[in-house]
Amino acid sequence: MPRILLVDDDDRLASMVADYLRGNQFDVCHAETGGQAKVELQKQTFDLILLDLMLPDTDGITLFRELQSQPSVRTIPVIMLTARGDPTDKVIGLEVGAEDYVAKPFEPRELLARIRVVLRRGERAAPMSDILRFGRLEIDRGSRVVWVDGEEKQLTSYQFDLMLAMAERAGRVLSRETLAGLAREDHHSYDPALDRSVDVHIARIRSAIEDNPKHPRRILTVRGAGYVFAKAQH
Amino acid sequence: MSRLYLRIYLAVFGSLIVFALLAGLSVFAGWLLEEDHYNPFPDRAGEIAERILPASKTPEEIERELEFWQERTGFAFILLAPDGVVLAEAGELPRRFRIDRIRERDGPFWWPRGTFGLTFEDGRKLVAIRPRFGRPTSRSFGFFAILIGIAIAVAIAAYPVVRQLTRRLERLEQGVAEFGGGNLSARVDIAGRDEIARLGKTFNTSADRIEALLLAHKTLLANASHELRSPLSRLRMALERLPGSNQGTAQAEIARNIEELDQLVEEILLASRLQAGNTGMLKDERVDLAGLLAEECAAYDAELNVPDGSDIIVNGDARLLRRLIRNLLENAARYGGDAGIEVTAGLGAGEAWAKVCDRGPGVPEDEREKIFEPFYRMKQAAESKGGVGLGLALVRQIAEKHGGRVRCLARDGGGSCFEVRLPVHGA
Repeated sequence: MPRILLVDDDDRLASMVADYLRGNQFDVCHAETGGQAKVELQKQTFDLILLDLMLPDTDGITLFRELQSQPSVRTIPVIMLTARGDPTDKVIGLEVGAEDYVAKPFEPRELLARIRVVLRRGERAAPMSDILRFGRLEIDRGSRVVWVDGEEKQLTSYQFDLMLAMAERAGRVLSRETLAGLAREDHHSYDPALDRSVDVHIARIRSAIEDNPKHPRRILTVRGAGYVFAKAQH
Repeated sequence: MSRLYLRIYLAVFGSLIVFALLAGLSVFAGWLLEEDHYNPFPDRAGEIAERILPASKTPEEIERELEFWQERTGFAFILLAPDGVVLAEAGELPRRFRIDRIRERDGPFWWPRGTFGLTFEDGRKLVAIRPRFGRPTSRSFGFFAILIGIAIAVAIAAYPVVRQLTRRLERLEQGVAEFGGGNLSARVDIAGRDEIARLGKTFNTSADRIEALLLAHKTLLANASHELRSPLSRLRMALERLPGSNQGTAQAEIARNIEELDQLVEEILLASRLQAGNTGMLKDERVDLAGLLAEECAAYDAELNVPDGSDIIVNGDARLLRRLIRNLLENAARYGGDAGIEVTAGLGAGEAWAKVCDRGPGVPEDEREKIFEPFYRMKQAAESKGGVGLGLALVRQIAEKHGGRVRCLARDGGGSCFEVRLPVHGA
């Protein structure tokens, strides 16, 4: 049974979350303060930490940085619990290196899904810098693999390059010509036969990585301009 | 004139000049009125005539007499015989004195430049010539020069004093400007106990109170989000643990209301943060507006069209711009009917524009500005559609924070279009 350390000073919420997670086959330990969390981490090992950003004795970011300096704790993935719109919100959470964040008030099932994805990820030891992460989508530039919800998706080498070129420029609208140029440039063994049409490849990539290829949320079409890789994904 | 120190300085300098002029004039007037210089000849004429008249006097005696009067009065004298021959002379005649013109005159006469003539009974003529002001004039000119010199010296000495005075004002102004510019801990140094020092003290007290107030506001904003959401999180969690099916309509309704409350909390906090003018939260990054539009449109199944295929890059805070777009789409989805939302974007006249159009009932002309006011609700809008009327107010606030604007237009064929215009990157 995976062990989760829940660090949150709102004990009424924490007890409900703990109950809910226990009902879903997790072993949960609750710490109300940063100090208590550190004590628990010395006593036992955990598979995952759920860390609230606002704690009575410290804030989540400071505690997270402290934990990162301990070799035994550093490998434990952390999911930050934030309140949306907080000055210290997801951006900072992800910048310091948390695996994921969940905004309060969260849907319990969403929290469960995130925990499962992060735990499934746990085994991989790729350096953080080589992984591009967009919500539940991950792109490992080193081993040239793409995962959705921790599940590996199959792409051809050219399609991977095309997707990577877009993902590295997430949020920017790229025309078909630009895309063809970028993918070709990154592709080491360029085969003109593969470069039929960007649209065809985009459709293939969509069917691999979109939850519903008919209503794409990751690779979006901008009529008249091209495609854009969504920056904010779930 | 915009510089106070120059004004004070010129006032000091000007009054010094006026003082110098007046002083000079009064000294000059005093000199003019002084008895030794102001000797109207005719007053003494009788006395002189009496002494000169007796024909028995020898020319030497007469000359001595004239010299005596010349010394006493400063006038020059000439005595002419009836035939015009000079009998006696005393004092220096003006260089251009024309004696022949005197010879032509008869009887008492007076010339404007101070020449007086008398004809005695025996035909002799006595002419008195008032001394020219050559010497005294140059002396009073020297006096003027000294006065002006003093004025200039005082002016030069006054400059640092005046400058010192206004420099304190300038420092005060700098302190106030720094505070106004957002550095809430800026205070002014207080020196002395005069009006400027008192003004500085008053400013510091006001600044203390404003800073305390803003700090309280900031703390409230920082904690409100967390504090307001804690009970919402507990509600949401508790709802999940209610016995019975999760698809129950009552549960779904509660979940939807929690969601709405959560949105409301976020919008109110964002609106008050924007209103507080907390510019620190406004990032300045390159944002691909079309990219943002595409992402948000996908979530609303809206169609995005960029007719000229150009790069639409603006400067701003991506999170706020995303919120702007989402609010417009949310508004269109909520009130814009079921015909689907159409979104277009492009560049024009140094601006990036985006239009979110619907086929809803449209907005009456007199309400097209009002709908951007916080908590304004259109007359025929149903309460049940949700939304609290902050969405469009936020859209406007965000657009204006980015130096842009937003307006509501009627759409050909029914419905309305919301048009946002933002300055393009680098403009």
